[in-house]
Amino acid sequence: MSLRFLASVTAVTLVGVALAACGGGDSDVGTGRAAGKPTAAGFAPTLAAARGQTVRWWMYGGDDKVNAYVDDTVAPAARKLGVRVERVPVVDTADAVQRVVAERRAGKTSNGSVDLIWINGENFAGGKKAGLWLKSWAKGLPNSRYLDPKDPTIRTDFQVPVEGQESPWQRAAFVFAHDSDRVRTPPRDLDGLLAFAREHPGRVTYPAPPDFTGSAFVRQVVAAKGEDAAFAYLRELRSVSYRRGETYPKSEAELSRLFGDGQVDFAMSYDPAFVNSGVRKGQFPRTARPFSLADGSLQNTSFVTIPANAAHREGAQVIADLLLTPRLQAAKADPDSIGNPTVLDLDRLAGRRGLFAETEDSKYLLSDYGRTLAELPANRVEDLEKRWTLEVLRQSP
Amino acid sequence: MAALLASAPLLALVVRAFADEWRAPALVPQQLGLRGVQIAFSGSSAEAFGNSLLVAVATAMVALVLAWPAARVLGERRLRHPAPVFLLLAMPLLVPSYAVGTGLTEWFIRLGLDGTLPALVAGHLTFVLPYVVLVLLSGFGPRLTALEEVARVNGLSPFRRLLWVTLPAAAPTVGASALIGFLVSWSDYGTSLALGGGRPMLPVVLLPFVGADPQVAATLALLFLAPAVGVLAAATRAGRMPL
Repeated sequence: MSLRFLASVTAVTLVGVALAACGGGDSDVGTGRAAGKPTAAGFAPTLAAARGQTVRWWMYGGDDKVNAYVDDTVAPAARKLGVRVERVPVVDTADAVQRVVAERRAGKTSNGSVDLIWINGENFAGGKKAGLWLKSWAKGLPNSRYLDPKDPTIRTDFQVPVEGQESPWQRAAFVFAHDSDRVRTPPRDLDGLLAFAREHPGRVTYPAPPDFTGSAFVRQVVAAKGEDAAFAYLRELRSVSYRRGETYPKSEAELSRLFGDGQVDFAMSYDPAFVNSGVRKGQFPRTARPFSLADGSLQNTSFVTIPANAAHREGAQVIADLLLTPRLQAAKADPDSIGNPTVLDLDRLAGRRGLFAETEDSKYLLSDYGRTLAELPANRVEDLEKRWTLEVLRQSP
Repeated sequence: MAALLASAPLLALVVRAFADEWRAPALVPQQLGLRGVQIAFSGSSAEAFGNSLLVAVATAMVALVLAWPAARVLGERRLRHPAPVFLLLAMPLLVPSYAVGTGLTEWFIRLGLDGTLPALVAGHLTFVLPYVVLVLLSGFGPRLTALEEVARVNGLSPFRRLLWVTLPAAAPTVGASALIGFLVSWSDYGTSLALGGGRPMLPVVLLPFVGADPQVAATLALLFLAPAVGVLAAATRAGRMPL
């Protein structure tokens, strides 16, 4: 791959040099003034500076397939560019942000120990507000030409403008799971889910917010029905849900276990490949299948960001660019790997589109998530969680 | 019998680690396999194991040396007001480890020490020292003081007294406090993450899998337990009856 990649980089570099020669030199790609037209010529100094750097990528470390993808696919590809990748596993992305904050407080404005963070939502928004991230670098990545700049899930992150401070690499969509042996046809939409719960009391539940997945389910209902109708819906669902809503699973992991053990009929996750990995882990039966609701699915993108004080910011940009190469995006979409849908715009791939052909049929992955429901602003999330506790959890049945 | 009961949860952990497929209501796994082992031993686990072992052993040793005088004074009840000293000692335990770690991080960054092994040892000492002092002080008291007195009257030099009288008499508590010091350092997530600067440490590698992937978590937990069991066995042997 790397030969092909290098060849393409060289080719684009030549074109870029030629264009720069005509245009009178454009050396400040990456400073933001180049306004979204990335050129490989502008990236060549970054590539050169990145040689020999070791990029410490802080990321959630609990998904074996993501870990393996970084160690076995991204790292070898990076090595060919002279960059080493060191994965720093964390339980929670906030731990990595905390680390950057501590460095900032200690006055360490360069040579920081966090080079790259897998991030989105509140963590990104908070850091952006505090000015923790390197600015406008993502627009200068040569492979960002494969992205659709108009796509709201690429341009914004939980409705916070990205502004080149992070580069996309993974997609998330809210999906559900059913066991095709037990429930042949899953509910079509949210009303269908409620109807199912009425017919089968105690067989439906969701993790209690503020669990990430439970909170997303509440947002999914709010995005589909509007806030007040959503809470009326959730109250109604409660009376017929698992243990009459006296208790809820405390996490997605717990709901997945209940589903795997046949205690409830549906599982749910913001990871579109969770049925794939559940079956692989032996936690879900092989007859488990994913489904989405006709009301639409919440979708968002997760990104990589570079702290402003990162010791190896050039290396980090090279990795961020590498993550956007069609080959690596296709490898990630493979059901045997992460099974995560690409962030690239397939229409911009031309000849490389074929790379994604095989990934489209796996019984554990959806090829279409239906209508996209946009994520709510990051700051509304907490209010909804509070309202859920007051109006759903504490309401006597 | 008691040993059997105590090892039952451990056995469950072993089965979990080798269960590639295990869903209720089945009592035994539907399928056994090595998926957990493969994943647990990929990536930086081996390096993390080495780092954690080195830091934990160094921390326990340094803690013993630092705790010795304090434990002596407290154990022999030579202080008129021991309560404030205990409170000061226990202070780091009252605050969550990650909070202490983050506070320490800032200072270690300022001193240019963060991410180094000495920094990790120093950071772990804040949590390890109180436990080590508390366990160690139970070894000192009137009985040992009397023994030392006898040795002194019989003309033993201070060094020989330490070697032939004090250490053998205090051996069980020395063993026990070294063990507890090792275990506290070995399992500390907060400071290891906050001061490690990205250096792989076993609790940091293990924790993300807990909940997300029971099989890998169980396998890593076994790896996590191995030196603890080893140290326990060694301590039992050295101090005959440590706990």
